[in-house]
Amino acid sequence: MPAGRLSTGEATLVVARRESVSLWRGGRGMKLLFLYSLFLSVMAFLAATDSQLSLLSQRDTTILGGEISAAIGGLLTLIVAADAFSGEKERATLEAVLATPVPRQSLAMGKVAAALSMWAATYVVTLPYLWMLGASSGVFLDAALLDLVAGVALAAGLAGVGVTISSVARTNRTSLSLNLLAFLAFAAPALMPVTTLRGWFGQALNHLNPLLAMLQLETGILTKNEPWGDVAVYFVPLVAVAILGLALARFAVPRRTRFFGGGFA
Amino acid sequence: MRGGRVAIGLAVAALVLAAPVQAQERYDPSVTPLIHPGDFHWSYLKIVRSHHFVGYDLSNVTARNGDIVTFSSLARNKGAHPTPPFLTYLSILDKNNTPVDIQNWARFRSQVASSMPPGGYAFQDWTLRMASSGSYVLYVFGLAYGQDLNATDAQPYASSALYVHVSDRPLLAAFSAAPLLVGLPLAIGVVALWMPRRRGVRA
Repeated sequence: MPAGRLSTGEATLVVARRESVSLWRGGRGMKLLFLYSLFLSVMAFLAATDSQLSLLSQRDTTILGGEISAAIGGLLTLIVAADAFSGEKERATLEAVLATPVPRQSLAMGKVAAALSMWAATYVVTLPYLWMLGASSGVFLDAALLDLVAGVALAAGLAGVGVTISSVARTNRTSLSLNLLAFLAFAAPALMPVTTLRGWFGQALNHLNPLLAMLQLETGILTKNEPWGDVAVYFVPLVAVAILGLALARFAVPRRTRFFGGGFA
Repeated sequence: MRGGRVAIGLAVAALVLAAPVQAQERYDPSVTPLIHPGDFHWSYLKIVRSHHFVGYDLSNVTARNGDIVTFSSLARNKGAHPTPPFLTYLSILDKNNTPVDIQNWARFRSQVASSMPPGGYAFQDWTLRMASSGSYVLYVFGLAYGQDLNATDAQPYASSALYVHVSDRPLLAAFSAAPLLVGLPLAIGVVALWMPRRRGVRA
């Protein structure tokens, strides 16, 4: 390696740091986090005071809070990732970025890491709410740990997909639309009535969809008190989506961000 | 020294002797009141498991709105002949003796049990989510299943009563939760507004 030149890992860290600083100091991350905390406050207030929702036990309320926070945290990560390359194109800064002596894969993975900082922030903000809802039911620690493990896998997958789509899309609007569509495709089976998932196709979706897998984990560990080992099979779709997303970003994005002197493809 | 050993021995013996008594109290249906004379007896045994319940005995449950209470009913054939298969179902009355629609309370409101031999018994688990505050009386009814309803053994049998007292769940105290519910978004909002301005000043 020539002197002064960064390794791929170091370059990834440099890009991640630069992108994270841009996200948080630029104010976009804080605005999304503000909306997220507002949403959690309203949801927590409703869950604890609404006469219908109050039928849920504290355990159920905590689980509901964990599920919603992981899903919304993943969505916010996707929104940040959706801006990764298409945003640079719109701001006419991509050429300058591509001209820097940074490997393309470092560029992609650095942007994925920056998007994941959004998820990390949502997770930190979620913890006090989970504590408020679940401390007295003794489920807080399990809920927090499960959200950490399942949430980071889901967010990594979504960030990878988001950055990849962003590298393909020519505008931010297209990138955001495609990413939201991808998220809806992920979430659709979880929103469908349970009865529609009883057939073989429904069962297959039930076992492959990462969001459904997360719900199954929450139900198994937090509601039914099953040991983590007994529900370990539901970690498979989560790990798979994380690997798939990160592999897409690592291998597909560099092919889409080639620089052709004055333009890019 | 010797006296101490004797005392320990007596204590162990007492525990060993008491254990079957406790087990008997748990499973012997003779300790529960019988509602209907005859060979086919129903009685509640005990609450097996519940989330958040405050207290219970053989006939009383105190719970909070939204709590999940699981209990067992026990049917026992005290006659000399096997019983037919039978259907059991839940029924809840409020304090005015008005039947309550238990659709919101129980996902499974009836169960089928197989034939019981003479002296046999059947436990059945029931799960209820306390859906409304108030005082209720809960019964399990048993009815011969797939038999001629005019036959004598088609007579429905009622269990002993389970008195359920459901109190309102303490709601979130708005004042105590305010620092989090209002304070956290406010703090993040202030930082969100302050950061770009600070950046602008530097630029």
